This record gives sequence, structure tokens and C-alpha cells, in this order.
Amino acid sequence: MRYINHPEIVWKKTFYVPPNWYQTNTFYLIAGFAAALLLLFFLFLLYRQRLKKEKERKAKLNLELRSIRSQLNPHFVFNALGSIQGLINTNEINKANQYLSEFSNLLRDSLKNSDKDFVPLESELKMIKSYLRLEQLRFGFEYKINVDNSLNTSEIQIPSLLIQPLIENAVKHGIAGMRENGKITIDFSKKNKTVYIQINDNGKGFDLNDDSTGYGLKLTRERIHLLNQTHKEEFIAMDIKSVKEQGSNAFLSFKNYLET
Amino acid sequence: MINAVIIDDEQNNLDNLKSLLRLHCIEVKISATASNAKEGKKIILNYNPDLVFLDIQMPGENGFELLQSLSNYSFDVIFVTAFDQYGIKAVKFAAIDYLLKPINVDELNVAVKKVIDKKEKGKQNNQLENLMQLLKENQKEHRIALPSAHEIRYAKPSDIIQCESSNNYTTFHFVSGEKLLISKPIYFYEEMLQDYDFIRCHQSHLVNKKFISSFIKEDSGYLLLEDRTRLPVSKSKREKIKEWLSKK
Repeated sequence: MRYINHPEIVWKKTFYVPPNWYQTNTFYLIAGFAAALLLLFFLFLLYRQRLKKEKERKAKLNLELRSIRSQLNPHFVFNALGSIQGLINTNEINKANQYLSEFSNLLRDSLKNSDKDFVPLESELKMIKSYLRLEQLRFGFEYKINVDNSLNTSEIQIPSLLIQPLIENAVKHGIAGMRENGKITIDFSKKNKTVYIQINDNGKGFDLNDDSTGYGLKLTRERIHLLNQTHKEEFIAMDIKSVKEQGSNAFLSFKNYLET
Repeated sequence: MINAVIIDDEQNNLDNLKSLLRLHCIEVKISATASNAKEGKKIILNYNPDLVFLDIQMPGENGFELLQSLSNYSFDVIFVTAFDQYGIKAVKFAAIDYLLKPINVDELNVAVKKVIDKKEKGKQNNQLENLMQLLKENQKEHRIALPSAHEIRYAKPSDIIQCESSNNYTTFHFVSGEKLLISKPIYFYEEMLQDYDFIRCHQSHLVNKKFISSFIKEDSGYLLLEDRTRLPVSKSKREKIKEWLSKK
């Protein structure tokens, strides 16, 4: 305060105003803490949601995978039954018995494995052999399956019936109609932790872009794509070549499918 | 000569098996057939057969119940079934022979030959007693039949620490420290033992949860067992195994 007539005198008076509750240090502390807590809580929610989403995504992928998991082609099923009927009607009783049990083994295994992601390579080989023997009955071609001795077929696991459509292509769009001149070779080999499968035929070849021949291939590609997404530690790659009148070749690699 | 009876509820199946045996297994003489469990019991008691071909699924009493109603088993059984997961599992667990319909002639020959061999050597079998045990509720007392070259070992799953694969063979490691080599692939036992808290942690290893002391994260991850053995864990199976271990 200053007096008008004595401007040189300044009189000071100090007031104490108690701070409002929201101005105290304790409040700042608590507020800061609460804000941090809130932030953490939101982060946690976000994280949990992401986890949930990831889980849902995986579940969805698995569902998709299940829906395109290979099944035996109905065409093949009924044609095989037709061939067996043929054997019965020509009185080839022993052969009919042999192919009937071959067919039932294949059907049984495919039903049994339909809900499994992976099967032992040994079971897969058994199914492929049954399949080829039954198709051989219809088309009379020759086939050879080579399995590298160092491959442990009872321990290695591969996706069930993944390569069956490729073999079906080799038969249907390859050597059908060539009788004993038709040849299919399937090779199983390995290098380091990778398993290689190669399917060759000397048939008439097919157009890779043709929808009618490409359906089985498209499904196989989709399935490989989904498998690679759900099993990130491993990787499957597929390459297909086909030359008119010379034959086709499918080459698959299963990276990290071997354990040391 | 093997004195045999067939029990199956379908006449066609009876006729079919009879004619296959007549054509391919001349050592087997069919003395009677029955189309249900009640009649089946009667012909077993009347004809005292060496071998019974027994259908598992039958209306009324099934094949297992028929066996349970008998008090002693002086015969061998070859089960015959179409598609029956549960039944087959118990039969496999007991390592008893079975045939699937439609019948494969080669498999029929192999199964019959085994019965003939056994009869010639005068071997006693307690396979059926073991199967009867298996079909009872109390899972803990179940014993799995492990057929090796000289004997069939009946082992409690809780006494098996782990199974190790080498090609088509599986080595069983027991609590007692003993090891036993069985000529069946590891995936066969993976299927048999999955209901007994075993898990395939690696392509070559199947392990009993009971004996795992910890999951060690270093290196690429491994399981430490109570006897200090380390078992490798597949990268692709790590998540699944962690989840499985955290469950009770």
C-alpha cells in the first residue's frame, strides 16, 4: 500500500490464502499417479484386445484350413468302386478282394486323418501307394516311389493329403490314356532340415491357368498359404511346371520339417 | 487243426469269413457260428474252441460284454470290426489281433498264423484278462501291452518316463531305469498314450507329464525331467507344450 501524500512509504501486508484442494502437492502426486495408472490400464486393454484378435485370427485360419483340407475326390471314389465291380463281374475274385481292401484302407485313413493337421510321413506314403494302385487298375500306367534312406518316415510329420491332388493331376492330366507308356515318379528326399517332394510324369501336360485343371492346384496353393501363416516356424513352397506333350513336374519343399 | 467259432450279427459277414477261411486258411475248422452274444456264449461253452472270431459291435450285448460274462479264457480272440474307434483303441492297447471289414486276406492269414504258432508252442496267454482290465473304468490301473521279441510286457503308463524313437522302433524308459525296445513306430504309442498325459515334445520323443520337472527356456528350449534328463522341444511345438504344461 502506498499513501498518496507519502509515496515513499510502502506498507506491506501478507495474506495467507489456503490452496484449493486441487492445488495441493498431494493432489498433483495422486493425479499424476492416477493418470499413469489409467494409461497403463488402457495399454493393457489394447494389448489384451490385440491378443484376443490374434487368437481369433488363428482360429479363423484354422477353420479355413479345415474347410479346404484335402478330401478324396468323389470322382475317384466312385470310379474306384466301378473298377472293383468290373473285377467282380469278370470273376477275378482274388483281385477284387485285394483292391477292395486297398480301397477301404484308403477310405478309412482319409476319414481318420480328416481332423488331423499332420500325419506321419509313413501313413501318408501308405495312402499314396493305395491311391496309385487303385488308379493303376483303371489306367495301367507305371509308377515308382523313391524314399531317401536317410528320411525317418515314422518320425517326420507332414500335412495330410497335401500332395494327393498333385498326384491326381499327374494321373488325370498326365498319363491317363497312355497305358503302360505312362510313368509317374515320386521322390522324397532331404537336405539339412528341409524335406523335398518331387512328382514327375511323362504325360501330355496341362495348362496351368486353365480353371478346370487348376482347381485342385488352387486349393493346394491356398492350403499351403494358410499352413505357412499358422505354422510360422516352418515354410512350404511349391513350384509346378508343365510342358505340352512332355510331362509335368511338381516340386515341393518343406523347410524346417526336420528336427535335429 | 484249429477249432474255431465265429460270432457276428450279420449273416453275410458270417458267410464271408467262413468262405475266406475255407479258401485261404485250411488249418482252421469252423465248428459253429452265432449271431448274437447270448448264442455266442453258448457255442463257446459247448465247443470249447481254440479261436473265436468276434465282432465288437452287435445289438444287445457287444463283443466285449460277451467276454466279460465268461469266467475263464482258454481261447484266443481275433476281433472283427468295421469302424469303431473306442473298441479298437482298447484292443490295440492290449496288443490283441483284430481285422477290419472288408477283410484283407493277408491280414487274416497273419492273424491266424499267430494263433497256430501259439498253440504249437503251448503258450498261455493273459491278453484277454488284460483287455478285461482295460475295459473297466479305473484308468490308473490300466496296463499297456508292449510286445517285444520274447514276451509281452504289461506296463502301467505311470511307470513309463518317456519313449524314444529310432526309425520304426521305440525305446521305453521306465521309472526303474530299465529300457525296453519295441518294434513299433513312436506315432503308434503317441496315439495310445495321449489319454494318459503323454505329449510328443519332439519328433523323436514322447514324454509323460508326471516326470517333467521344468521347461528350460535357454538354447532353443528343452524339458528337464526329474531324473535330470534333458529332452529337446520342437520349435513348432513350444507354444502348445507351454500351454499344456500350465494346465493343472
